[in-house]
Amino acid sequence: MTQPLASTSCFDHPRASRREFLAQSLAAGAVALPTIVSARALGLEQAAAASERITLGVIGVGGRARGVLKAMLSLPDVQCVAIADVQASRRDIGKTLVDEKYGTKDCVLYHDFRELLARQDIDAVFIATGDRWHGPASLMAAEAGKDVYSEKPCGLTIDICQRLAETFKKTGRIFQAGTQRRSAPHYAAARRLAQSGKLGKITRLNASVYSPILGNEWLPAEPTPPKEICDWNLWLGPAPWRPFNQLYADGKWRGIYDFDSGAKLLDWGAHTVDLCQWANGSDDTTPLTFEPTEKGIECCYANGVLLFLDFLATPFGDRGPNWNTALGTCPVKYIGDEGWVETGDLSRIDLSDENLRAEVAGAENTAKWHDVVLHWRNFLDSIKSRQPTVCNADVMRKSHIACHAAANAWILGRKLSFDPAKEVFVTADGGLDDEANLLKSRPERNPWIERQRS
Amino acid sequence: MPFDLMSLDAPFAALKAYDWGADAAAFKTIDDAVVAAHGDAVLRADLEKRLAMILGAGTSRAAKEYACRKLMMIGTAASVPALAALLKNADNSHMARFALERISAPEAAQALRDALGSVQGNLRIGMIESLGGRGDAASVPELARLLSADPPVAAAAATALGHIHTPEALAALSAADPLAGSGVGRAVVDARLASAEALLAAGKRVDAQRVYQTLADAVKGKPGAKAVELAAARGILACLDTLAATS
Repeated sequence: MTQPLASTSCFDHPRASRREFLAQSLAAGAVALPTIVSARALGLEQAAAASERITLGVIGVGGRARGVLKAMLSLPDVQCVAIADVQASRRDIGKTLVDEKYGTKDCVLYHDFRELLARQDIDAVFIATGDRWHGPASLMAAEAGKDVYSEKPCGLTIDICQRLAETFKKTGRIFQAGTQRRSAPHYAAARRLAQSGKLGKITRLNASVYSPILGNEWLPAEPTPPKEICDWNLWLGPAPWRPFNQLYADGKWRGIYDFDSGAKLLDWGAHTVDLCQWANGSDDTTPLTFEPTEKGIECCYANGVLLFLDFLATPFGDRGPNWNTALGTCPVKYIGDEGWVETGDLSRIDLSDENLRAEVAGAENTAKWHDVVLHWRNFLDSIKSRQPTVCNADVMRKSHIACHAAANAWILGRKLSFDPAKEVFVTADGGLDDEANLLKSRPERNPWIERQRS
Repeated sequence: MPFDLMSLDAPFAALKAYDWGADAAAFKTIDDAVVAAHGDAVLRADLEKRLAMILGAGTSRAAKEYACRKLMMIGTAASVPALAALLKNADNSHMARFALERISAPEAAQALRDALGSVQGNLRIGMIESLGGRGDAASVPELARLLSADPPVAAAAATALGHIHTPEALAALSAADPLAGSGVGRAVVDARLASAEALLAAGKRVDAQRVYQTLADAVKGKPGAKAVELAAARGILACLDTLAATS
């Protein structure tokens, strides 16, 4: 049964503007502190002290969100109080999940997430919509004074990744990219080993990615359902308009250019390239060149290290000679001139030399891909301390841009040169590569929010 | 090896008959040709001509949208007339202006400016957004005039002016009421703040501080303006921080 919505009109609660946020933040002393919710009012047992509990809203309740929610709800110092989704069926599933966990019926539903953002009693949001909405919703959340945990890819383009980093810096909000593998002990151990010098000089970083695609598929038009069932205009959001088809709303948007990012390279690349950036000590930069080949994309850093985005034709099966399939999804491999280390989501660590085993002791079999608790722990702790998360907006900016730049090289079918400081594509003679720079952004149906008012 | 232009005949014939839900596999050749057109002037001109023809009568909205997407990448002044002809069409206007927004030729900006006076409602707001997106200095006088239009248009004009970092754009925003109702004042404030931030980022601290101060003075003591005062004060502090850091 569809639960009643908190409001029938999204325009009863216009989104907070830049000035409204600034007023809030200044009034609270630079940053707004988390809202206090009394444990008694929440009826919680074994809950954290009220002053330590963070109120959370969830935006988008697909399969990924449900998986993360189950983990996140186990944490004692966060309270999910609201859910927004454009689809009634998903709202109901989310409410059931939350209310059953708390033993209440208090989780408030919204079909329009802007109403959720307008609530002053919500400290943070978890954004798990389709990819097209991650960036815009994060920007709107920051300007509404919320801290944000966003699923990856956090932005569909280089431009929006830049805007995200700048906005979170300006607003002082906390941002955590959903690249949870940085919080997994075995990936951290592999990175430490790569940086320890015990593999010799690092020469190559292998990042597994899906084989890129640029889907132009257009599904047949179907009658648009009532807004209460599925608000199609809101589902599309900043993406170009196209007629409704339920399959899109069910998840068949993946790989379609309007809704996906970076020719699908960011599906895994947002994780694996991010891990390689980390291993190379490159959180503040990107490779200088991106050259597509038949089997992958070769990216060269200023320090001479080669980052190779390895196209996997069958990501969950045979991955060819570069990988040990038994290591699970999202494998990365760091290769030095004296040895290598490889790990993946099954949290096993393979080494070129078993004498290195002591270097990764205790880090194996500690977490799998679906383990997000440590990453959420980091997010919640950062909200309280106001210190940056491990995957803050600046870290995300560079690693996502590296992925997008690689994708753009593949889309254009030629080697691209990139200026990491100015974040522009350049030509061999130092000029601007206009064609490549066009791909840094996409036209958006923005500010479509305002447009709906007319 | 030069791209075989004849190989485009069949895909373009399929595109002419295309509608949503039909098999789009044939367009892969066109997609590849768009990529191959980099540095191949002959192919690029041929493609652009074919795509512009798709924008004419007798093709579906879906086919026209596909062509607009490709012209976004390879369009030049040559395809501006075909795109401009769609700007008044409610179905195709937004995708056509997306393409015109990306075509660097001045003819594209002129087409958007020309359409500004002949479309209404959301289509007009779209033209305003695209001119702002291009940072089109030549549209400032018209955008300034639209600051007194109906609220959605006025708010869009203010936002666009905030993207055009010229003294004239800033002057127009400075003359607009930051406390106007129906969302216009909010857009004016945001645009003035954005302009000041751009000035500060460009190292023009004194100019930025002047924008913040003018905004603060305009709203000082006015009912409901506390948030704007605070935002302006924060901007002034940022300017002073910059001064301290550089002195």
